[in-house]
Amino acid sequence: MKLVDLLFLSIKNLWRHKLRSLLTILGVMIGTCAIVIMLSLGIAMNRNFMTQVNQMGNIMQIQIYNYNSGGKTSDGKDIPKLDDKMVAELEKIKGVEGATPVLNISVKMIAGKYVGWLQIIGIKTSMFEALDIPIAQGRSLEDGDTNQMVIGTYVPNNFYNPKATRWEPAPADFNLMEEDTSITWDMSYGEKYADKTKSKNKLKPVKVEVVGMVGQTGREYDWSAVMPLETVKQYQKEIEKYNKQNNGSGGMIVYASGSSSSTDNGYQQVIVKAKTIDDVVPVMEAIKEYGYECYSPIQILEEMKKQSAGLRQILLGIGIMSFFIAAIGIANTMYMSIYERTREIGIFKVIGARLKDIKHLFMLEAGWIGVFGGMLGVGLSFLLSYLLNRFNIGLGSSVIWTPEGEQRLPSSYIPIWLALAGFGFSPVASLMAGLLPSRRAMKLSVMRALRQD
Amino acid sequence: MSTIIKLDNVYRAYRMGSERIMAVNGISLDIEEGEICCLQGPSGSGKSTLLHMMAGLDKPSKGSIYIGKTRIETLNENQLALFRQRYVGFIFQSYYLIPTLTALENVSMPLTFCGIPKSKRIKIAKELLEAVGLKDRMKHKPAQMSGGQQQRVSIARAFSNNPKVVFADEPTGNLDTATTFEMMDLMTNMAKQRNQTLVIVTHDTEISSYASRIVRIRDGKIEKIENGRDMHDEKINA
Repeated sequence: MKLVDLLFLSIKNLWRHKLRSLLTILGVMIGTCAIVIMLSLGIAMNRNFMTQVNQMGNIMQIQIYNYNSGGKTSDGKDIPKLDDKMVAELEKIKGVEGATPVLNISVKMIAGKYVGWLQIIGIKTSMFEALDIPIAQGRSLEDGDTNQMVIGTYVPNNFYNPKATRWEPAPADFNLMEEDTSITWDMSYGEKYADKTKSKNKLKPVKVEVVGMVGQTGREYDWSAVMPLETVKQYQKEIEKYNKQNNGSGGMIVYASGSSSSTDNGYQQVIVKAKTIDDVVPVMEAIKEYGYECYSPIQILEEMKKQSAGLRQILLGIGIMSFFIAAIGIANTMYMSIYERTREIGIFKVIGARLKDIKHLFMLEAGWIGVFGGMLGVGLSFLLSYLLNRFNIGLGSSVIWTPEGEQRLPSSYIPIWLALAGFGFSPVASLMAGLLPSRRAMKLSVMRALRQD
Repeated sequence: MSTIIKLDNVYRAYRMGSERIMAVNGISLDIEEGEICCLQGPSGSGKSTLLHMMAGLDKPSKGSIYIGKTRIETLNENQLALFRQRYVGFIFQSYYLIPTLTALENVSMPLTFCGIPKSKRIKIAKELLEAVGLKDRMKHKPAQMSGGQQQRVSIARAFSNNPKVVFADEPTGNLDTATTFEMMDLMTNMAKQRNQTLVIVTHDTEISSYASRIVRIRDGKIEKIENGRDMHDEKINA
């Protein structure tokens, strides 16, 4: 018997008992919908964790801290020095997109008659993109930049006029990109209280150029300026020299963190960027092998996922149970149908139906129930998912705060693969439910079937 | 003429409670190609059991049955299905049409199982329905037709796959006398035109007038074999 004939005949048979077929299809629809919705709640939960954790910092960035520099690992190996050579080695780890040391210095910035305190972060210009620092105005740092910098959104808020008799902040339209800017490590620069007499080494401010402004990130970049690593290294040396000269002489001591002069133990902080989310954990493990401490928001994410895994399993369990009930419904419908059509099966056999024709016919009837039920079920899932999100009903549905204001995270999310899996799973499971009844139909004895009234 | 059906010392036993009943008790019979053979006997004589065994619907307890050169009691279910597709047509007392299918669909059903494409099987089914005089009933369902019309559909179905042998089990049992003769004319004519063998089981003595040979069966044994008067031929010749 040809497939097209089987398909046609099986649909026709379903149509004979419209109400019964419809009820069975509704059962499958509810079963499919239960699985899809339950999974969608779990998926939305994980996605929301990801969004929340991403707000704490980029999930693909791994921070390395070199607290026990020069010490030993727990199994007695020397922890290697975290220097440029080591950073190059880290970049070669599989799954690493790039790595950069991070240096921090505090300076005073001068722009026209205003001054402000400023934290400068030094990173490799090539890593600027990889660190997801958004540029809102101007340009980002490029290779070959030296005294260029990009500044955070809130940096202009720090500027004030030191000569004014009363507190005079910089005006609202103060744009550092248009000012002549320079920096100095003399923290008392321009202040009225500055003790000019004691300062032996008059410092000349260093010219800098603001080339861009960073968009809001919610991270340290909002309050800082980013400059090329090599430039910051140079500034650090100057600061050290200045500190030595002024030590004990009453000048202001400037602290530089993440110091990297050739004599010490290397960088204290390095950021490694993984290529994909899946690379983060293996890369972290590789870094820990060296004996460094490292940290990534993914650890929080993993923890959150682990804690909610039980809940998601229960959800999936409920879904599978609902579908199981639907599958029993299919088997029941098929058995009833076979009981009613016993004589018909006998006639089919007498006029030349093969065993597999009979089996396929009944399995396809079950299959059609699955196809229609699956289609309706996925449709219903999208509707329910919409309603759940619309009225914000869900498990741990949460709110995050973004620069644009309060944002509600969806409580249900159906990715395309889930919808397709729903479409696919339902007919397959229905075919399986139809298997036993079909075998029974196939095995009916012709004589007994024909004698049945 | 060659032998198409050969029964060789066939037995069929049934168990009813603790009693063992011999429905067919040692029957040997040869049926020639193109013959119209009538198995006649009172109810319970074992004639239907014999027919079912010849058609491969039932298996003998002992003995063998040949259709052509095939020993059909040794075939498995799938081989039997293919055997029925190629060699056998069936007509039943209560028609056994599929109630949800139209006359046309019922007639083309055996061809569907053979895997014949739709356009071809519709053509064959239409020709057959015309031949049995149901040209204007093709789209009717069994419930919309009289008993005689339903039996015509069933006859058309039995001939649809151009079988070597057509078995008819009390084909006129549910019909009035006038219709009975119509049906018998139809069946025997169609079988003769195609040189097909027709095996009819009946307890109706009037029907035996159409047969070329009448096998009288009683208590599971052959009581008597008579050559038929073949009234039908006489009528045509007259």
